[in-house]
Amino acid sequence: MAVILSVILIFIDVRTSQLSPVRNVISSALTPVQWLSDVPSDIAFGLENIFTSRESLEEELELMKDRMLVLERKSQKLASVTAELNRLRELLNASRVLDEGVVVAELIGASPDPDNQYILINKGFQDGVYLGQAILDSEGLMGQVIEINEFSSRVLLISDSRHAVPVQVNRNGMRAIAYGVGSLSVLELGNVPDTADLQVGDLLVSSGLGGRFPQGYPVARVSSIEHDSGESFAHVKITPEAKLNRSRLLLLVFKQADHVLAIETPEEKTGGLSGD
Amino acid sequence: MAINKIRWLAVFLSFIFAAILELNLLPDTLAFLRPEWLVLTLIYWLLRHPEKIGIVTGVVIGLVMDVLSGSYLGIHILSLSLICYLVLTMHKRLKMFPLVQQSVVVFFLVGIQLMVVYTLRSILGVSDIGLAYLWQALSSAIFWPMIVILCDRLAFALR
Repeated sequence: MAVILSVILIFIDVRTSQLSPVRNVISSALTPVQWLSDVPSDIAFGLENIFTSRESLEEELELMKDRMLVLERKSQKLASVTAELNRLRELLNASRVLDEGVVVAELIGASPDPDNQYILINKGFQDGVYLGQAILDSEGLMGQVIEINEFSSRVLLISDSRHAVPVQVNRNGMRAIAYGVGSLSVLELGNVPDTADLQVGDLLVSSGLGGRFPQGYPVARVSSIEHDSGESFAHVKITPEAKLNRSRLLLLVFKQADHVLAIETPEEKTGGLSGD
Repeated sequence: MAINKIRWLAVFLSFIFAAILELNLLPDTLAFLRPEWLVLTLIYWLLRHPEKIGIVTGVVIGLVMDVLSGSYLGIHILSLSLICYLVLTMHKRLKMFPLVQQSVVVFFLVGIQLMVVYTLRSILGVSDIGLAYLWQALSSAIFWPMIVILCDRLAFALR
């Protein structure tokens, strides 16, 4: 019974989040277990690589090269467009667009519990991960870091029912908030008026308004809109762009406050909305 | 003394193995059926060595489960120390039961454990899944004979 008393004490401690160092120590000690639990899927991945034929590999290589050329051309254009954008923004005395650095991280585990959606990645304190950092895959936003250990960190997915992302419609800039509902394939858009200009297929990008997520990364696409005349808001279901349960290679986004893409200008004109 | 040390190795190995199984992913459609491997292993060792394995072990395993699942520290500690207490109060009878009857008791034990976990979680506002956790208790009960056989083998091999 003394144990239960002590447990209640711990419980109270948790609510004031004083115990994170303890958690970090134990979690670091348990890292080998987490790595081991990933071994089966790693082996499956490896076998798949062994048993692919030479021709299909060459084909894949060709495809990759083509794709790289296309992307390189796009990024060449992007640099000049960004520079131009920044010059125009300077004319308007607005703050400049910041470049974000990214680091590739690998998935090492996922939540076995569908009601508690997180993933574990192989980057931790050592790699400079910070709390609330955004995680992307090649298609879109995946989630944010909620717990950091020495060698790994825990990422809350945007589909978890505790998570919400401020988004805006790419087509017209309408702002909304995307809530997770605990399903990997569906999110909800909250408090959208019936009269809002929203269509099925609209791309939603992160608006950067909360200051948490960087601006402009794709989050989801509108998959269905239902109007219920008895309620004041429309039911909008959206499908996440990121492959929340399939991506193994992820990108950690670092905000680089000092690295500015634009040509040097004397000083920052406006202080507000630095994430913009 | 030497025998004692080796036995602890078996306990340690079985818990590591259970933790790995616990973290292993099932396909989405089967995820609601995942058994509580660590709890099963804990109940097994409680029955086998009630004089050595007790509430303290339960607290340690609870701490591990809390950290692995990323829940608030204390939820699994509380539920597992409760289970340890329940098993210790009735281990003499429970040991005499045939495997199938033990499975039924394990169903209730795991059910109680999960009930405590999910009740605490819904109080803390994490999630509320109704009675779906009973499926997990059911699959745990089904896997109980397997755990007994495997852990018996392990303990025998490391003797």
